[in-house]
Order: sequence, then C-alpha cells, then structure tokens
Amino acid sequence: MKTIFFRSAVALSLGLTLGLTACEKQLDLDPRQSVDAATALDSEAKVGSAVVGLYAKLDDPSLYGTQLLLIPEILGGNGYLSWQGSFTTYRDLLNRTTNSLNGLAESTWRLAYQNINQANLVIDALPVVATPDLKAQYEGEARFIRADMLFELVRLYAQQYNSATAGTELGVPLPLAANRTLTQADTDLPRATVAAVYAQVITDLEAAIRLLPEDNGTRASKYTAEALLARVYLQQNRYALAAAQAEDVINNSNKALSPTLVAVFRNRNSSESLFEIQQNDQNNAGTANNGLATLYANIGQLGRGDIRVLGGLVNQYEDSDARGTDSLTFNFTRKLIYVGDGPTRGSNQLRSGKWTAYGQNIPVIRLAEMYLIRAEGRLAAGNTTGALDDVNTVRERSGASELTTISREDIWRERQLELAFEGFRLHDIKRTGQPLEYAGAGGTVTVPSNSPRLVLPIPQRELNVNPALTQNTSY
Amino acid sequence: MKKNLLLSLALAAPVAVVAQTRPVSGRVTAVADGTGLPGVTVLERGTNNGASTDAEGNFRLTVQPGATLVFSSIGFATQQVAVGDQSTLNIKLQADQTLLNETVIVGYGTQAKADLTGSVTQISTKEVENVPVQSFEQAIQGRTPGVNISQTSGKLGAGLQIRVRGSSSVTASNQPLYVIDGIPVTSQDASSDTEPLNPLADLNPNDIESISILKDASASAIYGSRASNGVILVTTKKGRQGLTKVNVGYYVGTSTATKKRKFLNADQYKELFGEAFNNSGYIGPDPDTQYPTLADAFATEAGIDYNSPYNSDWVGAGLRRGHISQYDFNVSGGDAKTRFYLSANYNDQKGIILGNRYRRGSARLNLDHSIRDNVKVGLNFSLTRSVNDRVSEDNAFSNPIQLNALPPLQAIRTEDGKLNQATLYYNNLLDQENGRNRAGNYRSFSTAFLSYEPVKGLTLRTEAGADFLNLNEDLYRAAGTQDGGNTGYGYSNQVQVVNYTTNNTVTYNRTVADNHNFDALLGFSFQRSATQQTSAEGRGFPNPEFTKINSAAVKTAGSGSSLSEFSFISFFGRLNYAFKNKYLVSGSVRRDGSSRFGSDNRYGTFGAGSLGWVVSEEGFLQDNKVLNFLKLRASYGVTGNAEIGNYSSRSLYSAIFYADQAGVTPNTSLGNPSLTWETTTQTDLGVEFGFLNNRINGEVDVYQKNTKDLLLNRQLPYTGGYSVITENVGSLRNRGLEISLNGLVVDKAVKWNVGGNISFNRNEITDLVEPIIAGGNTLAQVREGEPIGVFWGRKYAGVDPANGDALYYTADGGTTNLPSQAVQQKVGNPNPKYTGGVNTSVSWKGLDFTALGQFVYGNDIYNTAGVYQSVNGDYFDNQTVDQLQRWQKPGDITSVPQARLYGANGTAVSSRWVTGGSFFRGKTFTLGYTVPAELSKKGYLSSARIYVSAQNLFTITNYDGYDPEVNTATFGGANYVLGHDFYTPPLSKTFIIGVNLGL
Repeated sequence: MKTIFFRSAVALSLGLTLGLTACEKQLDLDPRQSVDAATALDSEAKVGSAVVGLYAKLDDPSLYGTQLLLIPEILGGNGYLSWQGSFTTYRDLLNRTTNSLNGLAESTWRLAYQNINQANLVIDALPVVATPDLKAQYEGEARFIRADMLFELVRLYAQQYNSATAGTELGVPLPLAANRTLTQADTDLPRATVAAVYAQVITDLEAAIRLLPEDNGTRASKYTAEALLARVYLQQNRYALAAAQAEDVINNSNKALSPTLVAVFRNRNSSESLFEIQQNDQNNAGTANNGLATLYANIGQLGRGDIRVLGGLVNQYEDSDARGTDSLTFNFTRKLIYVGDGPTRGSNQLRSGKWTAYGQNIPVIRLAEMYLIRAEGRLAAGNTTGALDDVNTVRERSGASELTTISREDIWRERQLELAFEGFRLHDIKRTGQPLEYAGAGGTVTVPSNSPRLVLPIPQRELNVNPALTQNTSY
Repeated sequence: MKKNLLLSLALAAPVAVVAQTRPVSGRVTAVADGTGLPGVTVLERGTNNGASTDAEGNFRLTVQPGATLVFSSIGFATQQVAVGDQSTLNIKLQADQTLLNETVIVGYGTQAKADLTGSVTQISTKEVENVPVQSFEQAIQGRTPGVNISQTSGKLGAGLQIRVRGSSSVTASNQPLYVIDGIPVTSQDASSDTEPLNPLADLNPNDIESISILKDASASAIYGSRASNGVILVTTKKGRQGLTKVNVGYYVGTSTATKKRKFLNADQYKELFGEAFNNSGYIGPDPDTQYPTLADAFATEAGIDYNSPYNSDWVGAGLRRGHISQYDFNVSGGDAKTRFYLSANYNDQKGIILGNRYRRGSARLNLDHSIRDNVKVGLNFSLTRSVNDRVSEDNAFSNPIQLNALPPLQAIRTEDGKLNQATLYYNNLLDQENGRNRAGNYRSFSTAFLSYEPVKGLTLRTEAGADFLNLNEDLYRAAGTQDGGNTGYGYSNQVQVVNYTTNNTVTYNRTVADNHNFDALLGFSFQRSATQQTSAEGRGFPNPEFTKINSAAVKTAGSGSSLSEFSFISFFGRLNYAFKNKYLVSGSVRRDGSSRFGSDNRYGTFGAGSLGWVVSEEGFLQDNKVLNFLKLRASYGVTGNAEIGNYSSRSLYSAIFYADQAGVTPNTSLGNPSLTWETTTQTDLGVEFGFLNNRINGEVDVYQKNTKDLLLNRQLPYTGGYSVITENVGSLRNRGLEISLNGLVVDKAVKWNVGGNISFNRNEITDLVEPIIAGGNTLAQVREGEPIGVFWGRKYAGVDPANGDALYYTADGGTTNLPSQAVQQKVGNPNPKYTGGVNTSVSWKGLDFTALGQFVYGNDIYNTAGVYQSVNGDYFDNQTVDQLQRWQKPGDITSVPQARLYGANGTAVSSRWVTGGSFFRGKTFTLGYTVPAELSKKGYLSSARIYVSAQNLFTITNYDGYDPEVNTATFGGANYVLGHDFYTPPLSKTFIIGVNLGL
C-alpha cells in the first residue's frame, strides 16, 4: 500500500515538473497582427513604413477621408446645401446648435493629434535612416503632414487669424515631441496662441519645402508644401506671401489645369493635382457611414444622398458653366451638379458630382486654387489685369464667361463656384469677414463671420482629461 | 458517513471485487402516496455497481455479501439499507424538499450540499429540458438567486448578459467563466458582427444533467484569476448501470412578439407633420422659402405623397409569427464495466423577426468504462451543427425593426406587387428577398479522462479536453439592396477557435476515527486557446444569381486573416475538513500565470477560506420537531478577472493602408508592462434552514464584493497621440442579499409546491480616475460614487406652457430651452433594485403543472431611438403615438413639445426618453399529463407524457417600448451601456405542445 502510494506521488510530481518546464514558455505569446513598439521604427525600411502610415491616416474619415472636407462645407453651408441625413452631428453643425459632445469635433481632433504624434515619432526616428535623400524626404513629409494637421486644427477649433489678436487668441495645443511612454503621452498641454500655431506651421512648411524632392510621385513634393504654404498665408490674409508661393507652384511644378474639372474627380492624380489622397476600392474612407461619396452621392444604390445642393449655390452658375447643372441624372449629365436618382430621396434634388465613387481619390490641393490665390495677391497689389487673367483661366476651362472687371468679391465668389464641396466654404467666410447670409424659415438670417458658433467646440472628453485646456466661447 | 459515501460515488472508486455475488430485487415507492418511483438510482455503496428503477419502481441488482444499498432520487431523501440476508427489498422514499443530500458539483469535484461551506446555486436537468429557447441560460432565468440573467434582444441565439452578484468589472468582461465537464470553454462571441452570438447555444440543453453556479469566493477561488465573475459548471448526462432507457421527445409550437411599440397611423402622421411644417413656417406665400401647400412640402422635403391612399403597418412588416419544433432522442444505460449516454437532438426555430431562424442539430456520446476495479477511462464527445439566419444589428437600416421609422403614407409594396423602394429610409424587406446573413457553426465539446485509485480514497485523475468552434459566416446582399449597392456585396468569414485544456488532479479522501473527515485536492492545469480568422469580402457580382465571392469583381477591405492566442498555467489545491459533519472548514488556493499579463506581473495567487456550522447536528436541536436543519457558513477569499484582451499589456504598431501601399501606425492604446488581473475580495455569510421535515426550506446569503485594480482604459489626452492606456486603477463594490424559499404546501395525493427567490445587489464605483462616457446618443457613464452604467445627462423639464419649447434643468434648478445650457446630472440607473422569480408546481395523479414568474424591479431604460421616433415631428421618421400629446397652444400642459419640423425642439439627448423598466413576466407555464403505466405498457412504452407549455406568456410593465428586457449591443461598451433600447427586437411569446415517450 505504502509503495503504491509513494510511486504514484513520485510519478505525479515528476509529471507536474516536466509539464511545467514545457509549459512555462507557453506564456510568451506574441501578437501576430502587430509588432512591438520597441522595435517598430528601428530601421530605414520600418521608418519608411511609418511615413506611408502618415499618409494612410490622412485618409481616415475623421481627416481628409470625410470630415476635413465636409465639416467646413456644412458649418457655414446654409443656403448652399441642406443636410438630409439622419446623423444629428452634421445637422447640429449646419444649424450651429452643436455642443462639446459632437462626435465629429472629437474624432477630427483625435485623429489629427494621432498623426501629429506619428510625425513626431518619424522625425525622432530619423537617425536610423542612413540614405541621405530618404532621410531628407521623410523629414520633409513628416513636417508637411504635421504642419497640415496643425493648420486644419487651428482653422477649425480657433477663431480666424488676425494679426492684431493672434498673439493672445487661443489656438490649439502644439505637441512637438515624440511620445512613447505614459509620462510623455499624459502631458496636459495648454492651447498655444493662434500666432504660435501659425508660426509652427510656417516653420514646418518652410523646412518641408527645403527638404522635399521636386517630384515625389503621388506623395507630398516641394510644390505640395509650397501650395499648402500659399493656402496658409492666404488664410492669414498675407496676400503677397501667398501669391509668391502660388506663383512658384504655377510656374515650376509642371502642373497644368486639367481640360475639364470633372476629369479631376473621375481620374486619379490628374495634371492639376498637387496633393491627392490615394484611395481604391479596398482602402477608402468608407462605404456605409463614412466617405465623401457615401454622404454626397445619390446614384441608384450608391450613396446615402445626405447632402442636397440648394439654389443658393446652383443659381450662381451661368447656364454655360460646366460646374453648374443641367438638371439631369448622373448617368446623363454633362455637368458637375446632377439630379439624384437614388430610391430613398425625393426626385429633382441636386447633388454634387465631385464625390461619386467610394474608391475615388480625394484631391486636397489642386492648381486651380493656386490661380485663385495668386489672383487675390495680384489684386491686392493693384495688378488688376493679372488678377483677371488668373480668374478667367479658371473660368474658361469650365465654359463660364470671361470677366472683364474684377473685385475681391468676384474672386471670393469664383472660389465658391470652383472649389464648392472641397472644404473651403467655412474658412473663406472667416477669412474674408463676409457674414453668412441665407434665407431661413422666418426671413434672412445673418451670421457674422466671427460668430463663435462657426468655431468647433474643444471636445468635452478632452476637457475632462486635460485641465489645462479652455473651451471656446459659446460652448 | 453520508459524505464519505457521496465522495466515493463521485470519484467512482470501486473496491476490490471478491467472489460470491447474489441477486437482490425490490420496489421503491413514495411515502406520500405509495406510488412506484421510476428512475431511482440504486447503488451498492462504495462501488459503482448500480441500477435504476423502472416505470413502476422495480429494480434488480447483483451485489456483494454484506452490501449496503443506497437509494437516491432527486427530490427525495437518500436512503441506505443494509442488504443482509434479504433478497427482496421494499423501500419507501421520503420527499426531501431541501435537496440537502444532493451532491453538488464544485470545482474539480463534488460535495454534499449539507457539507458545503460556499455559496452555490445548483439547477437540475428538469429546469432546462424541453424549454423552447436556444441556450440553457435562457431557461433558468428567474431560478437563480444572486445571478441576474437578461436577454438583450429577441434575436435568436443572441448573446446574453449574465451577472453573478453584480458587475465586478468596468472594461474587462463581466460574464462568468463557463466550464463544461471540467473544461473551460469558449464563451466569448466569435462572430464578426457588432452584436454577439451566444457560443453556449451550441450545447443541447437536454444533454445537461446539472448546472452549478459558484458565487462566493469559497466556491470559486479554485478557478483563481478567472473567478471574479462567478463560475458556471455544466455537467452533461451520464449513463447508469441498469436497464437501458430510451427517450423520444418532440414538441412543436408557435411564437409572436411579446409586445410592440405603437406608432402613428397615416391620418395621425399627416396631422402631426402638417402641424410641424406649419409651425416651422414652411407653408406660405414666399416661393423662396415656403411651399404653397402641405402636399408640395411633403413631396419635396421627404418624397412623401400627402394624399397617399396607404396606411402601411411598417411595425408589423418587420415581424411575423414564429415556429418552433424539436426532436429529441436519447439512450442511456450500461453494466458494471461500461456506462453510456447517447443523444441526438434537432431544434428548429423560425423567429418572430423577419429573416431570423435558428437550427441546431447535435449528437453526444458520453462513455465511461472500468478497465479494472480501480482504473477508469471515459470520453465525452459531442458534435453540434447550428445554423443561424441572422438579423442585421440594431443600428443598421437593414434591421427589420427599423422599418417602424417609415411613414405609414408610404406603401410597403407598389401596385405591381414589388417592394416599394421609394421610401424615406431603406425598405429593408428587400434584404429578405435578395440576400442572406447566415452564421453556420460546427462545435465540439469533448473531454477524455483516466482515473486511478491506487489506494482507497486516493484518486489520480488526468483529463484532457478540447473545445473546437468553427464558425462560418456568409453574408450576401444582392444588387439593389442597401448594402449591395448597384453591384452586390458578399462577405464570408471563417473563425476557428481551438481551445484545449489539461487538468491533472490528486484527490484524497479519508475519515479518521469516524469523526474527522478530510478531503484534499491538488492539481495542475494548462490551457491554451487560439482564434484564427479568415475572411473575404467582395463587391461587383454579375447578377444576383452569383452569391459567392469567387464571382465578385473586387475583393474589398474586409478580406484578411488573423490569429490571436492566450494561455494559462495554473496550480491549485483545496482542503475540506469536517468534524462530525457539524463543524466544517475549507480552504483553497490557486496560482495562475497568463500570457495576457504584463511581463512584470506574470503570476498571481488567489485563495479563499470558509467555515460552516451545522447547528442542527448539535444536541440542543437534534430532536427539534420544527427546525430540522440549520447551517451557518462564512467565507472570505480573493479571486481575479483576467478577461482583458490578449495583448493589452503591450505597446504595438499595426498595419494601415494607403491605396495599394501598406504602412504602419502606433495603436491608439498605450502599453503597460505591469498590467495585471483585477482583484476581488469577497465576504459571504449564509444561513441554510429547513423546517417541518424540510417541507419549508431556504437559504439566505449576504455578501460584499470589493474589486480593486480595475482594468480600466484610462483616457489620455488625444493631444499626446494615444487614446487610452489600460491600467490597474479604480475600484468598485457590490453588496447584496439573496433569499430563496421553498415550501411544500400540500403533500397528499395532490402535491403543491411554492418557491421563490429575490436578490438585491447594490453596485457602486468607489474609485475612478475620471468618468467614462459611452458617448454617441447614449446616456451611459461610469462615475465614482454611482452604480455602473448610470444614466447621466440633461434632465428634461417638460414643456414651457407659454410657447411649447422643450425645457431642460440648469445647474441652479431653473429651466432653459437651450440644451447647451442644461446641466449634466444623474437621470437614471439601469441596474435593478432587485430581481428574482417565483415558481409553483402542482401534481395530482398523472397531471402536473408548473409555473415560473420572473421579475426585475427598479431599473431604468433609455430609448436611444427616442431622438428619432419620439421627438414631436422633428424629422420624417414615423413617431410613437404619445407624440400626439404635443403642445399646441399657449396654456397646454404636456410633456411633448410643439411639433416643429427641423426645429430641434427637444432633440437633445436627455432624460426625455428615460422610463422605468420594471417588469413581471409569466416566464414558463407547463401543464403535463403522464399516461398511467398500465396504459403506456399496452402501447409497449415504459412511460408517456404529453404537455403544453407557454414561454413569456404575459409581461406586466410600464415600459412603453417593445419589451422591457432589452439592452442593445449595437453601441459596444457591453459592461456599462446598460438598459439602452435602440430598435431592438422584442422577445417572443411561445406556445408549444410536446410529447415524451420512454421505451
């Protein structure tokens, strides 16, 4: 009896010990779809992947995939479009009744700062990039994207740049260090001033212009950075500086206006494209609840048809203007605004023909904008002829009649006609100081361009975790 | 003594067989009415030599000289009889309502209920057999004190919410650990849909012999880092030596929705929306901003024909009459060497929601064999095929319940009989005609064991178990449907979960000097689980006849493959000691290591201790005529919760795509190398009692569960580039009281039994760095000092009688019509104040009747869809009928604001749509008739029973929505988004008629 007992005990303990040593390493299970952060950026090739990641993030629906181009059209879009969709986030923006819980305001903020940190991580990892050209290119791309994100944030979440008050007006937080650890990531950054944010944007873009190659495929090149800098200066109403950047892009980038504007949105990387978010049918901003085509389009079953184009915009186009409408459905129209024929929306409702395929590329900066920026610069400098030339170059391409006289308001109107639904509306209202006027149910509504309701709220979630932040007035 | 015996039974330890056997036969009858008792287990003590009685209570057995026979049957006091010289035994069994002599399944073993010092609820096969549900948990609702089981939706096979003594976690899982025949099984949803499937529906409820729910630390700590949410042990049926029993069962029935929300009809719709147009100034002479007539306004703004002849019932269009049937067949039996249980079952449920159908076919073989007297080997093997035709998630236009948003003025079908496609929102009936959404599953729960008893009382046991889950999701939406777009959409997903475990245990049971009983356990266990997924997604099909992704022109982003794994290494031990079956002491310990925990914190130790005092064994109570049983018990222990996702401790980079290039990006969650389990310390005090020979018996428990080191996703400022870090911060507490009572009111020819249970649980978050806000349109938050999932938001203050504006409360207690100026405050609590059930059973001769009622009291429900459907005509969604009470003229006192199209009058997320969710439900009613044995014999049957049964027969509630038992899973945050309704389908009311035949 004793021996049996003893033997069994020995056998068992032996079994346990053997089982143990064999099992111990079973606790070290590495993830298969991800890699550890410690080794994620430790070679030239890996840093290169992270740079691709920077562009990929730009296609997130919270950034250029949808919201950076749609929010500025909806907020301030009254009279030009109506929101027919069920998402109250957009409806509240259009009605200027949103609050600090708005999900769009939160996600754009989140993704923009994620990409800024990724740009910072890339810049921090540059010492492992041995090839000098690549190192310059990667730094240029990272700084371009960081500048772009900061510029979009300061335009949306802060009041318009005004040289008199920018030094005290609150902008957005400016994180410039690569965060890897909890201590780094959990820093309560206060809002920098509008002036400080713009200064950083300009510094980064100037560096990017220096570092980026003249031709960088479909990614950001020297001229992309110049074009963005032109846009930044224009937003500051620094016309001469803006025009100088636009001038260099027009003269030296080897870009040319596409023969038709519609081609820019039907084809990929047209001759006029300075920066375009690359998409395809597999990788795009969304086909159900997100994506510009999803929300704008109303072509059979394609798109939700949430955004209806209104007479306030359409009536400004001449009959001959290809950017207007001929009241035909998408498959028959020869113009950029078509009549939706999806089953879930009423008939005879107009839709923008710029966003009509889930996998289409998203032009963010194109040459026509450079002409219109230069036109404003030229007009400000008293060069009326030059300004007329630039505006007419853009108009002729679409069959609009030639202008013979020109004013600031003419150029602003031309921007609305040419750049409609590309994310310019709100920023132009704020920049030009023209009030937003539209016919409401009870008569004309006038919203001053500096209305605090034309600024997005700082997300409540962010205020909750970061006591150093201050909310915008009116939220 | 009793304990010793039961343990040997459980460990199945035969003693050496020595020559000279002799036959014994006899009959077992009930004391109360003298009728023969079928199915009584007759066992030779200390062996597994046994038999069971036939339909009339007769048995026959061959035994050793000097044998003692043990007669046991659920519901009766176990009796031991020394055979002596007798060859015929006539035994009378006394009904035993407390089931105190019942053997309770505990972790890695069994224990007599009377000796148990932990808190365990055990439920027998009777409760889960032949109930028209998909999964066994649905069948035991209302029967489990301290365990709140709620169905979150009426979708067939949908995930359930099970809380053992409250929610003990905020971000890690709150679902208990499920162990089937000793093996922890995959109980997390494996499907790709937002809304979970219940992987336990793969277990045929008719195969279950018992369910044990381990509630306090004493009972559960043997499962260490996975025990904080309680442990549910399921044991499947086994064969017993004796006559081979054959059972054939069939039932069939129909089902309808328990309740429907009421919406406007065509005239009411025109009235409300006509008013809304007018109030918003849309009707008038100004051609730029106004419409001349309502008809123009309806047509242009929403494409609705104001003069439409239709009055469509869209609510009804998404629902239908369901159908259910089940075929069941099992055989069990065996001899002294080999025992078996073999079953086959087919269950087919056509749900009440359009397109919803669940079918399950399963087979099981449980086999055990004695190689020698002290060596046993066994195998439990099951295979299940289930096919679930699923319904879209609640938050999809293709969810049939969302049809209720469509205006009654729009036709369901056009004149030509085709589905109307020109509707306000997607007419998702198209999905039914042009697509499918099917989750097919192969599942096998299997265990093999070998046990060896080298000396009496010492058992070495090794078991290996595997749980294979192979899920195949197949979704197709033809061109013309919403998801199908213009060219069709297909998605196919294969998930394989391979989960295997080995348990190796030594148990030693010994009674010293008749008074000291020791029961010791030592063990080692290893588990590894790997989930592999391969999916394909495509668009662009030639025509709707092509439905597989081979025929798709474009393979889109949903295509991919992935693998995720975890492992556990565990050592455990337990010692139970009983002195004279009077003083009980128990202690257990477990050390767990897991791949999930950070490298700095790989192993944790858990344990519990408990004491029991069977007061009724003391001299002063021994002959008490009234109080015949009284036990006090107390336990204290520490358990963990390891359900945090497999790689949460690491900072990771993942791939991200830019058209045809792949890049990398840091995950938004920052890693934490010291991440570890959550720790729960639980104290439990309990008393068990029986009066009047156990005719009245019950159990009362109070407990406090303190959970610390909560695995919380602490929110980080987005400006740092990350969203969250998972940390062991925060704590919460659950306190509660559970009472269960049973009484045998009449014990004559008529037997009438009444029982009930009630559970109170109070949950409070005691330490939290910052509130967790579920966001979106939900009200759910997690806040310090409040119960989990507290409704937090604007408080609706009704309507300004002067102008019809919606009002909200401000910080100073005043009101405002600007939602932005309203103060955020507590506006509800989704956690019930108490839950429970009442049951009764009456039997008389062959007739039996049972009824089960379930109640939930004091919880709130937020109708998240209120912002669309109960919002005084703000947009064109059809409105609930209560919106007709809108404000119309100054002086009107109402809570529904003035109808203003696009007016955002009362549209803000607020307490406006919070209502009480208490309900009492007539859960299960069954009336059965067992044909007298003489009669069934004539039909060559050993038994025959026919029954009718109703499930969810009635529901008493003030909730004005579909069904008060609701919690949409569509917003995620399953632990704290509680009590939210969002176009969620109701449960079904089911009537069945069935027959069970014994051959």
